Order: sequence, then C-alpha cells, then structure tokens
Amino acid sequence: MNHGSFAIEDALLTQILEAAEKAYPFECCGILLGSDDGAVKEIKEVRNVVSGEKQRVGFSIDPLELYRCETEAKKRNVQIVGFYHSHPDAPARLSNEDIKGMIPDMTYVVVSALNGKRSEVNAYKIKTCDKRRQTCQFT
Amino acid sequence: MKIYISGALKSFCSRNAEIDIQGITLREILKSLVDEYPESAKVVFDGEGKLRTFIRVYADEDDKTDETRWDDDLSSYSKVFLLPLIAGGAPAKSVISDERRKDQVLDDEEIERFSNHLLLREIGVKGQKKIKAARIVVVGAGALGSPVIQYLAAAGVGTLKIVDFDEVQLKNLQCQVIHGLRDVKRPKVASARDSIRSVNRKLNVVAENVKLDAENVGSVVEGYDLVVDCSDNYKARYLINDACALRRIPLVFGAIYQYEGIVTTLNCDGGPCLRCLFPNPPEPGLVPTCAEGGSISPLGGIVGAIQANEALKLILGIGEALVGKILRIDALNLKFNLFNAAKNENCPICGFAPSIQEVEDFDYEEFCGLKQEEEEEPVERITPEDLAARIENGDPLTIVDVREPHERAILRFPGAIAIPIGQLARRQNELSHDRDVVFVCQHGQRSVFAIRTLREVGYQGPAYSLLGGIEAMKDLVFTSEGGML
Repeated sequence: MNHGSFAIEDALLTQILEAAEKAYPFECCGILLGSDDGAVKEIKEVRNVVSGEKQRVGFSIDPLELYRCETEAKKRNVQIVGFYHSHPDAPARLSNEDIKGMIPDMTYVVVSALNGKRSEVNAYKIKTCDKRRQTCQFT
Repeated sequence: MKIYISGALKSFCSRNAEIDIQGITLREILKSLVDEYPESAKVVFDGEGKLRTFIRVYADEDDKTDETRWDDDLSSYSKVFLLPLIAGGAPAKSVISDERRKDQVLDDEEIERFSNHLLLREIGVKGQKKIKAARIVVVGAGALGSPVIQYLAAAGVGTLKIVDFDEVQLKNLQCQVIHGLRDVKRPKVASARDSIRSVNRKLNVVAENVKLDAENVGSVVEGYDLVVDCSDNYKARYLINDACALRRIPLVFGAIYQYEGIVTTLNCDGGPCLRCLFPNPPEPGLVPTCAEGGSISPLGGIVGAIQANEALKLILGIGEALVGKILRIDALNLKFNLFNAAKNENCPICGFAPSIQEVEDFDYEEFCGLKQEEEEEPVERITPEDLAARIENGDPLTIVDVREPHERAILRFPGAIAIPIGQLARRQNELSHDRDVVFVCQHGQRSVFAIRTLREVGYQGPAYSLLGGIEAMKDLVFTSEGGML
C-alpha cells in the first residue's frame, strides 16, 4: 500500500479538531477547500444533516449546501479538495460506510474525539473507482 | 439544458464545471452527456450502469436522483446539478458495552500484571476492563488455537471457552505449543485449560470436549461476545459461521495449509460472513486438510497471533479490523497480501433475503466428504480388523496406497503398491482383476474417491476401501504387530 503525503497547516487542523470537540457526542463534518495541487487553504464547516440521534454514528452533507459552498469558494479562487468528519468515541479510521461513499482523489480527514477530547487524526484518499484503496496518513 | 458538475467529481471530468447539454428529461440529458463527454460515463455510472452511490442529481432544488424521476420533463428548470453526496458512518465500537466494562474492577495484582496494556493510550484501565469483561469462544485447540488461547489468556480475557473433541497426539507437538509431552492422549481442551490456568488462575475457563454439529453449535457460541475459529475442517467452519452469522457474533477466522495462512474478520461492522465469500464448502476430496497436507511449525503461531490480536482489537474497539479484507500470509516467501472481500447482498445467511434462518440440519459431513456413507454408487469397504485378519491369513490381496509420497514417507503401509490418485486411471493395468484390491489412504476418504475414479474409467475388478484409512489401522496392526512397520 502506498502512503501518499498530505499537508495541512496546524491552524487549519486545529480548526477541525475544535469542531470535532464542539460537536461531541455528535459527528461534525465539513469541506476542505484548497488549490489545484490539493493543498488545503480553508476549512468550511457544514451542517450534519443526518437526523437527530443518528448524528452520533453518522454524518451527511446536503449536496445543495455543498454546491453553494463551492460557488462561494470559486470567488476566492479555491476549490473542494476534500472533506472531514469526526468519530465520537471511535477510532479515526474509515468505516465501511465511509469507504463506500468515497470519491476518488478527494482527501478525507477523519478525527477521533474520545470523551469529547481530540485524539487521533488520519487522512485517506482513494485513487480510482475500483476497489483498490490507497490511504495517506499523517499524524 | 445547463448542467453543473461539482469540482469534487473533477477527477473524472474535464474542467468545465458548467456545460450545455441537449435533452428534456434527465435520462436524455445523462445520455447526451455521456455521448459528448465519454469520460464522464465513469463519473456518473458504475461498472453495472447504475448511478454511482455517491452522486445526487438535482434539477434546481429538486432531487431527481431516483430513477423513477428520470423521465420527468425538466424544461421548466434552469439547471441540472451533478453533486456528490458526502456521508459516512462511525466504525464499529467495542463489542463490550460500557455497562459491562464498568462492572469490572482491577485489583493490585492485575494492575501490575497488565501494566504494559495500561501504558497504551488506546487500552488503559478502561480497555483492560473490557478485556476482563469479554467472553470469547476459541474453537479448536490445535496449531491456531494454541497461540490464540495462550495470548487471549495472557491478555486477561475474563472468560474463555475452549472447544475441541480430539486428544493430544505426539505429532501435534510439532506445532500445537499449548500442549506438552505429558498431555499426550489427554483431551486437548483439558490440556489447554491446565496450560493457561498455570499462567493466570483467575481466568474463567470453560473446556468443552465436544464435536460440533448443527444441534450443539448454537449453544456453544450463545452468550459469547466473539468467536475465534481455529478449526481445521470445513464442516466446523461452516457450522461456526452460520451460528455466528445468525446471532451476529463477530468471528475471527483463520486457516493454515503447508506454508500459507489466511485471516479475516467476519460478521462484523456490516462486513461479510464466510458464506458471502464462499457460499458453500469445496467439493469433497478437493482440498486436503492440514492433517493430510502438513504445515510448517511456526505458521500456526503467525496466523494465530494475528487472530488473537484481531480479537483483542474488536473487544477494545480500536484500530483497523480485517473486516471486508482477507490477509494472506505466504510464510515461504514471507509475503503478506491484503485482498478486499465484499459482503454479498445475496448471501444465503446474512444478505437482504436470507434463505438460511437457523443452523440447518444440512449434512455438512456428506458435503465435505467426511461422511462414511456415500450418496453416489456404493463403494465396498473393508474394516481394519478384517484387513488385518486377511493379511495374517496370507490371502492374496493387492493393497494400493493412494496417498502422496510425502505422506507415505511418514508412515508406510507394508506391502502396498503406491499409486497416487492422479495416476490411477493411467496405471489401472497394474491392478489384477483376480485378486481383491484394497485401496488405502490416510482417513478413508480419498480411497473411496480413488475407487470411484477407477470405476469411471471402466475398471471392473474387485475393489475395497479401507474404512477409516491408515489412521484407523495403525493402532490395530502397526502397534500390536510392530514387525509390520
């Protein structure tokens, strides 16, 4: 398995971690905006549209909100390069459901929030639409 | 119609976020899109021509993703959107509930004993309590079961059930490291229990000296959090899988053969079960068991240690489990490969419309060729006692050993001619039609297969299969009449 690299500034990563802590015990989610080469420039937190209690174990981003966010981003010359979400009291790894919904070449940052506190962070990426998965991780 | 494609899908598409496409209905629009931009077909559709699960199609604000809406007239809308649906779920949590964990207390001795666990951030006191609360069944106390039982006991698993029906034999000591010389001829479960009790007296060990069948397998796994399959035959594997799949008990599967091993985690976190991967056991006689094919001594340790590690991770709810993945280990070239193993939605036991609702009275033994009666044309048998008597009388007999050379090297059948199964058809002329021919193999399965093979190619001579094979014969003849060896 090849491990690609993924760069994100500390300040941005901190934003994600804070969002995960704030949303606890529910999952937070958001969009990574950045340049052509995939480097993250901005974080955009979006609403988790999964209903009620299910937010403890799942997240979903409203596609139309994603569209609006993308249109806004274009004005600032950034684009969608990936997504993040948190796993309350669960490890920072992709669940089977996460993997099913993954879009190739997008970076997926997963944050673990144990007892409401940030724990582990990982980033993942799949290369093509076939089943081979490539992950890139950072600490 | 203007069509907007989200940048998140750009890896498939040209850069144009917005393009003009002909069409009134979504079906027409998608068709024109694919015609005009053939590479976009990959964006929109999967290999089976279905809309990809992560794509949502909107006409302005209206969701048109469902195919029943694809023929709607869209002329009143201004734009069609192809947008990604970003969603996911949490990974599996520990199979031990918080309540059960909280019921556990660690005493001073345990704090010292498990200090290396307590130092790990992912385990700590909470994790160690989960391990203590855990109830795990290990089926098989052999090559795989030895390290699994030892490591799970050492790790502090509160309740361990050990299931096996065999006695320890000298040849087991080559790889079944939980047993010692003193344990030869003792039940494996008793030997394994004593062995781990000497490591930790506080363990609750349940030793079940029982052969699994459709009737008892349910009660063997009922009420346990996790099952580790360390068995060495297909009958047991399918029984265990079915019982666990029906009760949704996670199952850590391991198997070894010669230099190769596999490990996977089944019935867990929406992943597959054994029948998703292999709906039925292989044909009888197709796959030799480890007892026939052999295995290198440390292989059971490698695979078993990984199984124990997987089991602990599931108990703790940490790390990445082998769910939907098969780890293959090639000990000869020391290569590890990971294969994806998807859940089968049409699985007869864990799919959408399961046809198996209980561990059925399905005749696994017959299916796996372990059964002594045959469903095809009958093959005549000879018991070890009768064969011994006939040999002693000096009756004219031809004995054909159909085992492979490496098996014969371990224990030779005196006076037998050796014809491996693959050569039988070609070498049938070596068999006299005037004398009774007795076919022998290790367990009395392949000899039946051998006779059927010969009958198929037209062999008419009198042929008998040695019931129970050389295994059944050796205590009778070879030990009492040592001269025959």
